[in-house]
Amino acid sequence: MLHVKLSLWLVLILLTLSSSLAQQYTLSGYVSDSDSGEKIVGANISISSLKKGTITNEYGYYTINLPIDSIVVEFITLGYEKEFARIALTKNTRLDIELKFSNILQELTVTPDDENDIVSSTQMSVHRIPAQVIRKSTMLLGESDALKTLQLLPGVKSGNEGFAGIYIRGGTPDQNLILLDGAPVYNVNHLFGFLSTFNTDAVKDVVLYKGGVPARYGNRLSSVLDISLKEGNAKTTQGTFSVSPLAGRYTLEGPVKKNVSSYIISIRRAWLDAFSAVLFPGDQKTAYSFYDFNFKYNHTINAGNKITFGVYTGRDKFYSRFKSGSEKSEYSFRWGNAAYLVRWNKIFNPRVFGTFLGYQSNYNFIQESKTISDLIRQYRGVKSKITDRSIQADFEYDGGSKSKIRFGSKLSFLGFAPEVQQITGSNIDTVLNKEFQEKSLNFELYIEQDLKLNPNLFLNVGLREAVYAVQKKNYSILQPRVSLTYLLSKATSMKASFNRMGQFLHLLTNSSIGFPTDLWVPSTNKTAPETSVQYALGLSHRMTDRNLEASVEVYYKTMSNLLEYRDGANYLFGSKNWEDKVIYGEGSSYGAEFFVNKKKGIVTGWVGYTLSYTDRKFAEINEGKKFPFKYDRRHDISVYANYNIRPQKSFSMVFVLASGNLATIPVNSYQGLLPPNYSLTPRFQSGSYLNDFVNQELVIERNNYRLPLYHRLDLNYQTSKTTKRNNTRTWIFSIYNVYSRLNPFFLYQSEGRLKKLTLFPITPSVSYKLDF
Amino acid sequence: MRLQFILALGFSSSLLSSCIVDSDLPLPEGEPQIVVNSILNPDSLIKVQLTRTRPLEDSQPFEVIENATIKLFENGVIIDTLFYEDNGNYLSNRKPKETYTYKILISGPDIKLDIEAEDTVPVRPEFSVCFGKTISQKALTLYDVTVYVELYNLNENQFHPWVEFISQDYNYDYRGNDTTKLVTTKFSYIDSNSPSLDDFNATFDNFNGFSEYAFYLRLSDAFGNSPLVNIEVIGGIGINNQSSRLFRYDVLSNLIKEQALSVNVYNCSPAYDKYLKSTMQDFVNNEFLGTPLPFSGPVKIFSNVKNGAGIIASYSAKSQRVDKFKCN
Repeated sequence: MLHVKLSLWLVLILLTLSSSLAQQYTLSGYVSDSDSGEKIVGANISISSLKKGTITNEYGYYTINLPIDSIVVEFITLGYEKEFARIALTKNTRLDIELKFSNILQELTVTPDDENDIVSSTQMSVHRIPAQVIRKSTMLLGESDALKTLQLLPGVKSGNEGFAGIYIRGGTPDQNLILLDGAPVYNVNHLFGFLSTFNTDAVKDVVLYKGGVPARYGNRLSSVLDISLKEGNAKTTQGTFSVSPLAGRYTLEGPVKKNVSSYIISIRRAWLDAFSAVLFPGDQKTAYSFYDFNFKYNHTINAGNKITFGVYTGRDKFYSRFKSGSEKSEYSFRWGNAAYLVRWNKIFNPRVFGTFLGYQSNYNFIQESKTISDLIRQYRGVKSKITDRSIQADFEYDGGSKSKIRFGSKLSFLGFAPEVQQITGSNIDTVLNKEFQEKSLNFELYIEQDLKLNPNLFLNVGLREAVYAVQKKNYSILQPRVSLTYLLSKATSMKASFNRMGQFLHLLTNSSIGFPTDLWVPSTNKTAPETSVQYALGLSHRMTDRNLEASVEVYYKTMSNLLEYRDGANYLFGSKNWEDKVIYGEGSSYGAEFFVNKKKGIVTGWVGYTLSYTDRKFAEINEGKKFPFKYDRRHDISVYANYNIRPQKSFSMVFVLASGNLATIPVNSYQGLLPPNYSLTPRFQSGSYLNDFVNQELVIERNNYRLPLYHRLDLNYQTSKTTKRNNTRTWIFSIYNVYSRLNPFFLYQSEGRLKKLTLFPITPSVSYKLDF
Repeated sequence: MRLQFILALGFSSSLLSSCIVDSDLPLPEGEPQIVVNSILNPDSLIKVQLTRTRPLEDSQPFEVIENATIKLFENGVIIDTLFYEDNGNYLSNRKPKETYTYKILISGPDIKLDIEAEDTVPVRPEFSVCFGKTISQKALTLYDVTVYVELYNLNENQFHPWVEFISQDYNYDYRGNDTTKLVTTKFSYIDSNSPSLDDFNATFDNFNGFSEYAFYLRLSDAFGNSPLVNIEVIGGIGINNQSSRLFRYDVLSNLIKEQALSVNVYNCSPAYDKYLKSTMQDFVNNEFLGTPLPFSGPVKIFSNVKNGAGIIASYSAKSQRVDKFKCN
């Protein structure tokens, strides 16, 4: 095994060295928005005369190697006016460009190196969703949501009705690496999962990798969701204030020193607790609230150095308070994330761009019950926590027109404290489960290279190795990644990818609901890391005359060492140790995804269709036989369309049609046997429970029942107007589930009947936004 | 004013409409099946009950099968044809023997495919018990007796032990506080911190720091091949009544003749072990507390019946009085 690892590393390093020998002059710089100074991700830089091009990276930086020449460089990106620059390239040249925002829709020249181009990019199974799309898609109670927009993409499935969790190519939500400006977020749920923690006013860009994940990402099995927040306007102060039936949002951004440093502050707070104060005025009070807060400060030290500080924090609180005479009691849940990061972008030389990132990301959950009176003073608290402190360094090296290299490493210190209980009473004061607190060390190393093997063949090859130390045991997972693109014509390409992924964290959950009680636990000497292997094959086609892109992909994925609670084991009836409550198994998933996307024009949007099969196999479930995964939805169609009636008025719709989820439902009842001597139990002798064990329900197999077809239509109308003070006010009218389809949220049996609970029949809402 | 009106309209319409709606779904249709129930143990005659499954929404008694033919095989040789007694029960005049394998073959006019099932009767368990004072008392001083159960030769006998506690003619009344009435009771909760136990049916008592097992102690699969396993039991209760606990240490030596604290150990066949565990899991999830645990689904109950449902299961049991053996 060691030989295989060494060989793989050696091959990749040799490839890297061989491709870095080319010598040319370099044109490099930042591309930014002329109004705000915000860096533009994915802007195209092309030199038509040389048929060469590149795009800006996630920090808006580009670099391209060119021969000595007098050239015209075009800077193009969607929604901005084209810019041209004429340069006599006689040395390495720095060229920072500002693009002007435009409502006029222009044609986009696509270059062979355009990563955004569905045809020529080596990357497959990726979707980039601009923030504007998120703000116009599904809205529940007036709140748009990044994760709910992603649920409309092929290969991405929602869990339960109304929830923000995403299930990608048969994986579970914990198998998605969700990064907020590079720092992982461990719980993305507000309001028990109805809303994600990402405030769309502060979001700049969302990129989702469903497969073919580049080697620069790791530590999750299924996908990477990379969310970038705005940098803050470096030229002028501006802000947004908005209200919806659920929450209020306020965002302020502006320069500290014009074009040098900027900040952005964004706050969102739910006001459900204000409603509950009206609904429960007496001694009994039940309330819910959440908030989130984003702050970012950017400072450009000089042309080659930029530093960023970021803070994200968000908390939810649900509580019930009772008062009876002198006795007061309170039962509460509190949970939240906090992430702090500092990032340094350094341009070492025009060809080498470096990023150094340090962050701390925490998630904690606290469940408390307190009773206080003259006679009693009782407290019980259950706390779970995960802490991730990491430092990482990433480098991009432009090795010439045929090669781009990325490499880097990351060191993480992880702390886990699942279900630590503190109990205080009249004759007890103790802390339980302290012994299950774990610390682990994770070191990762990667190298990745984009290669142009010939004019029609592009390769992205990478290798990542993760080493993990816990409880005096070391794990190492070597993760090769390969993506290949072959241009069949200028408009059509064929793609293939292979990736192996590993994951040292596991989320123990009882449901798909995203409860805060879900536990993050580490791999230990008993619990091995999860691994997956995915193969994908695809065909991409661009219809330039119709502004359409189309793709079809097939994939096959296997997952091993998956964790699940045993039947009957759950958080509410906890036993001594989480490891006693779990079982280990495997899963597989395969399917085909079809996607047609229209990015430009008065009408934009997409249609996605997924055909998929997903199963699981656990020795202790379903008699050890394979069974379909709960979210094994065979067919899934999503349509999103946005009609720009005028620049200030838009109408959008979302339609979803999907096979129902699966559930385990008995098919008959039958006579069972009493266990030995059960008739001697007080329960039986009392005469009230004579049916215990005798009346059994016949379950044929796990997840044998498919729920009815899921479908719904959402509409959204937005109208904006500029006020006399030059502010823009926007009214947003949205209807979730227009024709009130009663999609099931939860199934239960009652009096021999199967019943479903629907949370969201037709749900209209009105929101107001003021941009100033 | 207009802004306020629109906002108020928006808020109220959203809140009013996003309510919960409850409605019915069609139940899955399952083919009717013949259900076979039989327990084989060396102390009883062989008996098989045949019934038919019924739809979930049906609350009528289970239909019994009266016209079937049941052939009994012992180690592959036919030894008997069972006769019909009543209520779907078919009897043999034979008792099963330890280590022998029994197969039943069922046919009849209402049975499309012959039904068959088999199981091997395990040997009787080997164990000893004794009682002693509880050494380390936890937060609440409810217990002052500890029972030790020592199981032997598990590795040789493919042991799948299930342990229960019975208090005989003790002054404990599960209906109230009438402590003069003597009753025989199987413990509903057994308290233990023994690491060798499977805690699938346990809840953790935070205030006292131990696990409470419902009705039985099942040995964890990891200990199934051990030559010797010790289980320490620190208490038990008949029902959710804090005042009615296990026998106290000081009274155990002074019981009247009829009174006893006994430990029964059942050595179950692998099939019966799986059946018992799955039925107990289903019970703990859905019935034990009156309402199902949140998000717990139905459990697939183990069956070894080919072309039908139910179980033919075997065990061998042994009982020992605890009160007669004080630990050294």
